[in-house]
Amino acid sequence: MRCVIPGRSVKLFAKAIHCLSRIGDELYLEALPQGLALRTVNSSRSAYACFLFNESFFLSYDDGSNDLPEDSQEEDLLKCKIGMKSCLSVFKSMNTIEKSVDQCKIDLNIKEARLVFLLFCRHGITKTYNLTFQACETLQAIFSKDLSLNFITAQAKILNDAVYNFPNNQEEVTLVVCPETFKVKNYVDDEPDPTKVIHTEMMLAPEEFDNYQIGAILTFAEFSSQPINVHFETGGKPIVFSMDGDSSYEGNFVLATLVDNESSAPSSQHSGAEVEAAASKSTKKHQKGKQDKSSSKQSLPKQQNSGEEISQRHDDAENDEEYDSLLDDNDMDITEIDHALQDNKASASSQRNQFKDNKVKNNSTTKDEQLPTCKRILDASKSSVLDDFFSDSFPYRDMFTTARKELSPSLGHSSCASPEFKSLKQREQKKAKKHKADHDESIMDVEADDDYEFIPGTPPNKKFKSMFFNASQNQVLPQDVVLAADSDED
Amino acid sequence: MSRLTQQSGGDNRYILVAKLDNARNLHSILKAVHFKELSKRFEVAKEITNNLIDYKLFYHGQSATCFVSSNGLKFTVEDAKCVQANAFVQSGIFQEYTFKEESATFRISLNVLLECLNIFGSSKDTATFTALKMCYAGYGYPLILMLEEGGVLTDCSIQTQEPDETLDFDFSSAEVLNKIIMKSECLKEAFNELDMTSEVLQILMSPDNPYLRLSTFGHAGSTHSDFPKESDMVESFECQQTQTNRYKISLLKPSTKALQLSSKISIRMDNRGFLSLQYMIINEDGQVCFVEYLVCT
Repeated sequence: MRCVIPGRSVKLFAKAIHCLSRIGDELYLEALPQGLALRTVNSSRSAYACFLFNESFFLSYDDGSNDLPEDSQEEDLLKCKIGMKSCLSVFKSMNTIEKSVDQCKIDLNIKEARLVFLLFCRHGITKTYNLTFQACETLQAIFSKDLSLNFITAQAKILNDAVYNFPNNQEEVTLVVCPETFKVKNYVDDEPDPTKVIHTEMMLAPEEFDNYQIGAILTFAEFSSQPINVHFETGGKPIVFSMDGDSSYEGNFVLATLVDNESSAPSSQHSGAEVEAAASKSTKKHQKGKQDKSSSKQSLPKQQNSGEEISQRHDDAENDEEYDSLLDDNDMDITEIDHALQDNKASASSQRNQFKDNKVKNNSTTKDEQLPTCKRILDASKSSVLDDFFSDSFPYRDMFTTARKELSPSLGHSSCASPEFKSLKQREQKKAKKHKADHDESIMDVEADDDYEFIPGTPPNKKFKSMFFNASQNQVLPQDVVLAADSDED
Repeated sequence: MSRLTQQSGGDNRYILVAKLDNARNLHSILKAVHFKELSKRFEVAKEITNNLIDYKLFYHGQSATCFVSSNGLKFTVEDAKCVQANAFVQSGIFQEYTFKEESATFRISLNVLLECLNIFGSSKDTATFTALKMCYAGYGYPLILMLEEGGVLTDCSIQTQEPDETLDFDFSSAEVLNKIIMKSECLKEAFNELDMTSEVLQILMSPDNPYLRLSTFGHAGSTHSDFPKESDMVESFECQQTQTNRYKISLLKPSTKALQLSSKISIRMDNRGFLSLQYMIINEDGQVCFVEYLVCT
């Protein structure tokens, strides 16, 4: 792959990389016939971002497919993964880059196994960055903008102004969208005294969403002065922020949203007034448990956003379908994402306890329904939530649930043979036993823990990858649930 | 004229009396050779003791050897026996400079000296100056600093120490093979962005393309910055043969401070591969000072 970015566009390219760096730690580059794709996913796999720079963005663009030796596996040679940090070092000085760089040449040199950034600067200075890269699979979130029921277009500035009102450390925001109004609410749940909480609500027109990473997106969008399209369905399904106003490039950001069983259960097919009630109820529910979390959080450095925690609960397929139909009237659902800093085990375990409390409540409320398969991801660094993204279209759900069923009764039994997995497993067992002593709901908990380390820190390949991101491996999707269409691959 | 510079009685017992209207001039040039910032630990210790106990108990910090002559002062700082930084403060910088002997040498804690010079804090207001009077009575005596700002007078007495022998790099301009003088501006960015995961900074100087190349070899890969001799940043280019030498990046990093202050830099390499970096620093009053870094391979 070889391409040249003209001086005037270098800043935009650099902005895109800075934007991606706020989401993920690794940058996936792929040379597509129609342009260069830059992608990233955050460590908890709850947020995915993709920029596609079309051929017209570059002075010259060659995806390199012609140069490939015939016997080689074409796909492997046109993509790579590099550390975000090393890429950032190329575009470190954002302020001067526009003035100092005349041209930027990117060369993916397979023979020497280097990704070369060549910056031609003023005064005849040239800077060469030979970055090492790793071979990787295509990173591809399965989402669809076109099938989304809801759609908003707004200027970045307006959204930015809306988000600006929230404190920087705000972990969750809720978008409440009705046909008439658009509301952005903050979600504060770790303050013990409800009277001390500042509730901010912005009225600006159908469901609700999340999240601090919006900031990263908006910064870029504001720079590029492009309107943002927001595509979404309901809580628990991904929300897509996209920018395609410029023909030379497009950006897509996919964020996971949370679903709340309680409010999305059949009982919730009521009018708007009830939504508020459900919302406040869930707020209350979380309040207690998260106190411990917040205290442990404080001891951690704040910028360490890389570890995020996503708690997510899902009903099984039947339930999904059930409330899919229910939700067409744009009412119910509380979604939330917890972004928490949690390499800290203490916080993770306290979290686990508190979620157990939640779970108990949930169970009681959903008892009369079929007990849903509950799924929680507690340790984001070891697991994925993008699967939850695509839960309704997720072709492997059955596999997942059966795997879980197998695992939950006999703890020692693991379907995965890697030693890493086993040791994790043992740790989990210990934890689970500890829980057992305190709580009766240990089985539930164990179930959850199984999910938690279902994919223990494995490199993004094999199983997990193939399930959620893989476009290069052939998978047969059931025709009725296709959501896997992707704009990049079209 | 401030009050400080007016008093001159009783100076007879000092062998060195130097007066400076703007202490920042001296402060900034000494900072350029200050390798090691106070570590956090010392800062904390300092706060605890809150000036009650002699600082010296808590940090010796980095020492500088000061050579005094009638031409001015030279402060020399060394690290790891591999790098030497010299700050030349000519007598012309001072408004008044009297030195009665042939020469004098003493060692002094650079941390303390810098702190004293900045005792009134660094105000953003460039209109207010701290006036300085520096006195030294000779071997064994402390260095006396009198600082005045807005009618407030501070007396500092800094113990001097036995001078150490300093390294002699024996870097003579006759042996220099390659020499480039250029504006510092374009190097500033290059040095700021040095990949610190690299152990070494490789400097290539050559009469042929790529003329001047700075390379690092870090975890993420290698980087090269090339500066062609035709560039309008390059003022003088005298290279005889291609030389590629590697220098420890941790030793060169402190020179970034001097580079930031400087307006021009002269890069020289001798036949042994020793590197001399000379920085021309123009201070607030438009006077020219020089800082030199000597680094061995």
